[in-house]
Amino acid sequence: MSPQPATPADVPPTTVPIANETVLLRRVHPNWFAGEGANRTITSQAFQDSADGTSMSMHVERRLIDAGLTAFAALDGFDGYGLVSLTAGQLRAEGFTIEWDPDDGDGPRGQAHVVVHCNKSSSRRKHLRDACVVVAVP
Amino acid sequence: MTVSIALSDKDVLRHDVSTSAGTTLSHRDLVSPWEEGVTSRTRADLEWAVERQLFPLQELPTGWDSYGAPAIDGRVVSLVVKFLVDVLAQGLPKPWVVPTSLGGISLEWRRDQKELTVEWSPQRSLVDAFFSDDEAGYEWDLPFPAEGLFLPALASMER
Repeated sequence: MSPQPATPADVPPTTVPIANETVLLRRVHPNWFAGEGANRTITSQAFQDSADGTSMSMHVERRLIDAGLTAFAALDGFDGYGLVSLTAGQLRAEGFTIEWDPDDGDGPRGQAHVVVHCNKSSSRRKHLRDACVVVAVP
Repeated sequence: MTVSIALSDKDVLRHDVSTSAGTTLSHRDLVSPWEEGVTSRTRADLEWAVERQLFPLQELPTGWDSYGAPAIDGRVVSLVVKFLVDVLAQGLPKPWVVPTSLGGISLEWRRDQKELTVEWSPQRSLVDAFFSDDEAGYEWDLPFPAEGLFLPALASMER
């Protein structure tokens, strides 16, 4: 039986703390992947802030599941993109802070949206690249 | 190993900015990482090959990264084409060409535990360079030409 979509009342508010073991998801453009199989890699450019100054966007996997979705909902509408994950603890270990940033215009998925603050130096972005897990390839 | 490099850091940054022409090539036809360096081509051949690989980046639409990235700046493309032709003309290794969320371009070289990146952003007049050697536990992150460290780092990427 497929899971029933959660109602808004079922989804915890976006004020709850984000535990270190929480899995966060980041879409990765196909140009940011290279190689095949064991040699597959991504560029650290996948972990950059937006050009308008907005901090890096991610989605909380648990929140997607609570909303009756899966991790792959982060890819809905973005055919051909890949998906990688990091835990909140890994991000904090690099000095990043994580803030809920619900996107009310993006349906249930939008309630899983967070932004990750801190200067995205080349070194820090590389560390995220090295630590991330590839969830889906393009 | 000693590598003779005629390429001047100052020359690399002295390139004029000009508008790049468009192309109908697919943006997926990009430089792939870890290919052997190009050593036997004429400069004109190199320019053609590099332009063919970089011009399509300008076709990436606004928002191409799914997070609101601007289109890749044509002035940056022109600068990187000239830089990359200079690099390849010296027989130095070919990088992975990566569009950035800031509308710029990053060139990335990797060899074993070493990584070298040079990044052009339309918002910044400086070109950022980053090198890391995980085996040696050493890294630097400096404006290009990285206080003279760039060319030795690039030479160390040769196979």
